[in-house]
Amino acid sequence: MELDYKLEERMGVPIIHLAGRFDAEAAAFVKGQIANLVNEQQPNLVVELSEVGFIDSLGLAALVSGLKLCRKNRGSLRLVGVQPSVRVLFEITRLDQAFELYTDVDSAFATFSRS
Amino acid sequence: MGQEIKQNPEQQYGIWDWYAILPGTQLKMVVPARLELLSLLGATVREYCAALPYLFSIAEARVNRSTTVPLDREQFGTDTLTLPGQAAVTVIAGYSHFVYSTELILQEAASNIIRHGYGSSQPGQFLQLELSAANVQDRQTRLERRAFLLQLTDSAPPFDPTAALLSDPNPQEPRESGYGIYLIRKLTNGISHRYEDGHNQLLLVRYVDTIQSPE
Repeated sequence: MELDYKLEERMGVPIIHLAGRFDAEAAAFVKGQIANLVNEQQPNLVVELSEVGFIDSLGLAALVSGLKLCRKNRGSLRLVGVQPSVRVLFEITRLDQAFELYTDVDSAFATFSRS
Repeated sequence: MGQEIKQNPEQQYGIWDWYAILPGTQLKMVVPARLELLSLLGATVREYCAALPYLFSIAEARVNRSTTVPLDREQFGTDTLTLPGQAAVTVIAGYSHFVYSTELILQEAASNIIRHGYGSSQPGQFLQLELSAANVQDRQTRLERRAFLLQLTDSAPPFDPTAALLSDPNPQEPRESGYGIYLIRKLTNGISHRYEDGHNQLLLVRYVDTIQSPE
């Protein structure tokens, strides 16, 4: 697996920092980690992708799986720092309209505190 | 021009009346069919894409006059390159998107073969990757186009990714699968599959004479 995974927490909300290649090889791992983090008590999640240079369809699917889990628990999954090359992938699949995209972690949290 | 012309309409590659691979531009690799090796193939595709404008220019230099090619400095480290022939491909700012999305096409197609075609891992399973620069005739417009060809061959049971019926993604109800083939179709100008002598042959074509920046 060519993906680095780091977990942090802010205001009780987990932040997953990913770096490297988020592809078929890493997707099941990330999907499993998200499933362990999100529940009724903790329905929100932030995934920081500024150092992810490549995402494939299974990486996308792992994020969608997390998005659905957060929504089911009445929370939200927010993506931070999606690189322009990767963003094109979100646009083609129209997932840029499904996810909440933020430029940095602070702006992602600014709206958490308001909601 | 010394090119290998293949006249194989319909039965060969369906959507193209003919294609001619430019001599000296073919690259072939055979690797074990394993997901962890796809990043290696991806790196090869990236390098090949970066070289594509040169491959076309060099292959066609003999028949054209001298010219200077504008280059994307970020990509190639220089602004211009003077060639002894007309530039076949103009490198524009959108080229980095072209390189990324070409690697993505390979990743999706190869990962499908490994996960769905071969399924459980067995010794002897392989993937053959062939990259080439070619002139093709577009069937609809009848125009000759400069194209990048990516061909994948495997010995898995027959698996035709062109057969799947796909609907456009709905952002209101995002699905958790089906993005791979959708992306391949969106990012290629042509795709064809055939099964022959126990092998799947998947051909993916992208035109490179009009690379567009992402919208």
